[in-house]
Amino acid sequence: MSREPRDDVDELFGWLEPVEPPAGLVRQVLRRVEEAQPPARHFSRELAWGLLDLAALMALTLLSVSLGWTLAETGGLDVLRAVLENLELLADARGDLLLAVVEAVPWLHLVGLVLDLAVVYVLSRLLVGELSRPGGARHDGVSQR
Amino acid sequence: MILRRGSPGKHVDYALFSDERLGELSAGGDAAAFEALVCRYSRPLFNFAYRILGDYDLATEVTQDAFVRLYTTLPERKSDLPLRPLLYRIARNRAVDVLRERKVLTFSQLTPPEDEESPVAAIPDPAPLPAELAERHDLQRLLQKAIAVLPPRYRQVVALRYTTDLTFAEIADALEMPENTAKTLFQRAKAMLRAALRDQL
Repeated sequence: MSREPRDDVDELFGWLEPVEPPAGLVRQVLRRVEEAQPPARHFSRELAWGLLDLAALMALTLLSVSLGWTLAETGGLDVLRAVLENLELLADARGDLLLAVVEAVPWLHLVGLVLDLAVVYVLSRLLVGELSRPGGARHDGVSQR
Repeated sequence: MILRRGSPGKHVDYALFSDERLGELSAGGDAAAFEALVCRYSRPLFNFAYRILGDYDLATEVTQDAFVRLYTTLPERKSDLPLRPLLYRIARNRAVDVLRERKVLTFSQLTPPEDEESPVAAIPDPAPLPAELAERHDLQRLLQKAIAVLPPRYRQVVALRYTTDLTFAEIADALEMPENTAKTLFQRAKAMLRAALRDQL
């Protein structure tokens, strides 16, 4: 208190004893503060998702090029071109056309491409989720109580 | 803001730091600095809340809420208000909320009056209270009861004045009122306390 003149009421309330707070008050406060914190951003996790996503995108590129080459080698592109140039084939020789497509398409490449596409989607979602977390501070050694 | 410990192996005695420095460090995410603030103020803040609310559990809750609120406020804190009055202001606002939840208070009870003249101010200053009163077994209960019957805005000033070492300027900051108003409220509150305690004798 500042040095104001003290009277009898001041003197009397000078006897007012402080009430002891609960023993674990400090701990409780710190725990509540810890709970109130936004989820931490993990730089290492962001980097990991980013690198994996990049790798999956590169694999997607390679698989796409590889699929194109294989299609060209197996005659799949010729089949597709023939169908596009003459759509009547779809009606006239559906069975033969289907057989040609089944033989010409490199299915293993196609399945790999679709799977890689799914991986790129999942990794991109994870990366965006990690980057959009609130709390700009980096997570490097958060105290755990 | 993410709390984190300071550099490992580097011992820092946060007890030596000023409130403002601890506030800055806490705003930067220094957990030890914030812990030092909590250690420094948990007891007086709890007592302040207890004197206003008269309830141990509610005072505990208000103290916790005040620190959590301070923690979230620190990063965007205005530098013109020192940390100590800010902390008590937060606690006072939370305590007023609790009082409102428990009992409907009129707006006039929570805000300072425009007119400084009051019948209470006219209460004459009687003879000093008997010194024996201080020796009474139930003195603490008596003092708390006297505080508890004060209207809330008077109670807040008295609680800050008698349970903390805040100056009137800081009390005024904490209660968001001019310093002279805080002093006037305190003088009126003392007159009320004197009258209430005289009845107890």
